[in-house]
Amino acid sequence: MTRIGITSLNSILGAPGLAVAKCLKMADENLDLIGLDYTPSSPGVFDPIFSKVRALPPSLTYEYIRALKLIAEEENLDVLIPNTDPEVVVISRYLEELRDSVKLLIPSYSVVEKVKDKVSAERYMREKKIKTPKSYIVDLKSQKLDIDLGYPVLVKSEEGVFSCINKEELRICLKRLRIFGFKNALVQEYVEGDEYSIASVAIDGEIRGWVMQKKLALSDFGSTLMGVTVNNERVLRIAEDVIRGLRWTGPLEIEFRSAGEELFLTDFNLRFPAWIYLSPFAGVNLPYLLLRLIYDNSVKAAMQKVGVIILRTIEDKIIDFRKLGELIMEFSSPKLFLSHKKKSSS
Amino acid sequence: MMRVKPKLREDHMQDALYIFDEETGYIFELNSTAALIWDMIKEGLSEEEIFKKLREIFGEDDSKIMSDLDNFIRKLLEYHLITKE
Repeated sequence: MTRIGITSLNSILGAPGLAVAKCLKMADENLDLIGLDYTPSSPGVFDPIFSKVRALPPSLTYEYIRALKLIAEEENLDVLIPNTDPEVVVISRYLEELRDSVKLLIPSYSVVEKVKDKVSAERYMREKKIKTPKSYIVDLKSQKLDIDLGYPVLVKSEEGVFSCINKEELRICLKRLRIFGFKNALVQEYVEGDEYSIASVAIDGEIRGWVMQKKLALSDFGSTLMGVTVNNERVLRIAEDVIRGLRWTGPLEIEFRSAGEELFLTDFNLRFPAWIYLSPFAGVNLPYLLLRLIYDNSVKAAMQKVGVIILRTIEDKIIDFRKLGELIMEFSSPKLFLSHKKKSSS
Repeated sequence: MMRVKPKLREDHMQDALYIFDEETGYIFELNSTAALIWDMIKEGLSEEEIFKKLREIFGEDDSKIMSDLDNFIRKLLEYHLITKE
């Protein structure tokens, strides 16, 4: 039985881990799924789809890698699927070390660093002459704010994407990021228009399967509440060029906005998107494709079906008291990984 | 000559025709009269031929039929559902 570790189960905050698990189970109910998260307040940790849930350290330092290695060994994980951008960045740095313990499908750090955050991605796209909305990379230490974009603008950083409707809001937003320790942020023109995103799995720059959606309704943070699969050839062509140029391996979501005849690339996500549960219903189960590719890199998915609609909802759950107790025990010991490390190295 | 955009999917539900644009994700609802004109465009009829047929079917005054047909075709062009040569 294949055992798969899946991170980031906070579906309320748009983490795709639970949706990835549902896609995998839909394809093969015999897969044994282990949930990995930072907090017992993530709704996914209570989902019976996971045979077990393990706690990860909250900081994305080397301790996180050590914890992943240890969990992979203790739980006999065959495959690990990380589901947040910062996780992909830190794992890519220690990819070879982790591969001794578990199989992964993500690129090396030399690839990831080109698009590892919003500012790096913008620099990469400028270098490759890929059309993006007009943007400024702001040095947060500087008090100068020479930005000529009109309002609203979008402020993009690892903290998230914020919309600012005037200069005062923009100043406060940038100040907040400076206080949080960020060095720079991307301030981007807000382009009015239709939004598209394409989720894909690639091997060494070649897309092996993709699903494309138009966003029909958005949350306040810009994530999909409702979407429909479409086949926009311009979106696909740009995505193929970008993925080929990066020589990307693994899951990647690329977002676009169209304004009249213009098409702007607006965002990269180095993982499956929150709406990935749409993919099996569109005929291309991308998480399962990833799993198959790990064992056979010649696999290629079929063409997606268009017109399939996803509506994302919040599901209320009643939690068994004992289950909560078990999880609190699992998540409450920050020294868990250190003690296990001593045992395994003796 | 009017041409219907490729990659459109049609679904009839009760009296309405729904057109889904596979490229843009837009969904359009056409009532029975609009759907009738849509079918005539797909058959390759010219505006004049469609006008004559509508006059036969509905028997309303020419100016109303002409105005409705003009407006409908303008909307189809605006939403890139058809092209005109």
